[in-house]
Amino acid sequence: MNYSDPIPSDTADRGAASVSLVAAIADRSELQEELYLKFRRPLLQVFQQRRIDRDDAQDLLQRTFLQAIKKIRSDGLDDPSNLGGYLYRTATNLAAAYWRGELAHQHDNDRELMTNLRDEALSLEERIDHDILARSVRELIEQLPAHRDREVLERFYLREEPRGSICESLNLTNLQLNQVLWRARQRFGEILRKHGLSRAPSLAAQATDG
Amino acid sequence: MDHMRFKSNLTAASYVARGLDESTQEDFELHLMSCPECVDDVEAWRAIEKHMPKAERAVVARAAPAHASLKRWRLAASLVGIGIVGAASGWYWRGFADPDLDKTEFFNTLPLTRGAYCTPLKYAADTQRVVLRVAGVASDRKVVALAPQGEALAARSYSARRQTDGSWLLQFAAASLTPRAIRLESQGTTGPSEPLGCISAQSAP
Repeated sequence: MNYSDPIPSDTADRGAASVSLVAAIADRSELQEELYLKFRRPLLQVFQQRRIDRDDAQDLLQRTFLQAIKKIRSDGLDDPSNLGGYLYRTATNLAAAYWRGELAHQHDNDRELMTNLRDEALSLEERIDHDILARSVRELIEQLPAHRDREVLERFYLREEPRGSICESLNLTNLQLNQVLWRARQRFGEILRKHGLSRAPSLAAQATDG
Repeated sequence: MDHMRFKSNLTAASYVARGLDESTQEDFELHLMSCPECVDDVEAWRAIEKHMPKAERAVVARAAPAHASLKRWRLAASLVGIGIVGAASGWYWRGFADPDLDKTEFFNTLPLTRGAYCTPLKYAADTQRVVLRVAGVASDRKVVALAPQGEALAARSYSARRQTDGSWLLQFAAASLTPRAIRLESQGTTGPSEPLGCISAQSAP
């Protein structure tokens, strides 16, 4: 698959929004923030998933957006409705190059841009104070109803054990394991809401709908 | 359609736990590009993973972040290491009797993230072997160590094998680990190599 392959679940509306955004960027309109608003958070997760630390991920984010803008303004995209797919391929290629040591290290992130980013473009970790987030997770762990639920989270996230071995040793079906995880996720959402830390859903939706 | 499938399978939770196969991870990451709701889920799981209470983390061997904690870490890690290596070989008691065991250092790739260059593995100067556990590797892939320019390390420099829990144990002769960077990759019969991390040796006096 290459960057021009379609995103399978992308709706026609989102595709059309991407086409408009690509056209506006090509016309050199001031739409950098719009690009950030739509794609910064998912791209950040792509870098974090590849164990790239936060500072370097910011650097790679900048490179990803810069590369995309240059490409749009020079050659254009084969499929403008698949801007997300192009950014994703660019990001994964940059992450691979990073680990191969092919990128010169630099931290020339646009601090002003970072400061002025709208709340919707920031990840949960960036929006909420580190200590408050840690306290919320502790609250979640304390509220889990069974020791087994805590053990599932610990083995899943700290030891990175496969689902199969967790299910087998705790005598759980895959569905039961999902229920444990679902309950934990719901409870964590409630804790964030209770403390006024959750993101307004409408803002996130607007960010995507463009 | 994909969104419903990802939600019902708790894919975001598995993604953060690095429990997806390569193809599903790619599908999910492409989906993230157009789905703020799933990004919310991933961020929430990422926060839970990152902020799990320290007491819960104590059982996991990890790379020592500073020289000051080296001795304390070595004691804890050796106990875990005896369990890992001993259980795998079936030689629990031989492990206790092995005079070289206290010259073996154990690290877990879990906390390894690259800063400016590579994560240094800090160990004592008399260390003879370094054992590195790499978790979260898909079952159809193997872990290999590469020199900075990408060529495979000589087979005599290290050994790698999969454990029953799916993680990999890499054993290096400490002398073969110099301050140069060593890259870790997972390789499969299909698909591109996936970078797993980068380490370098830092021997303490």
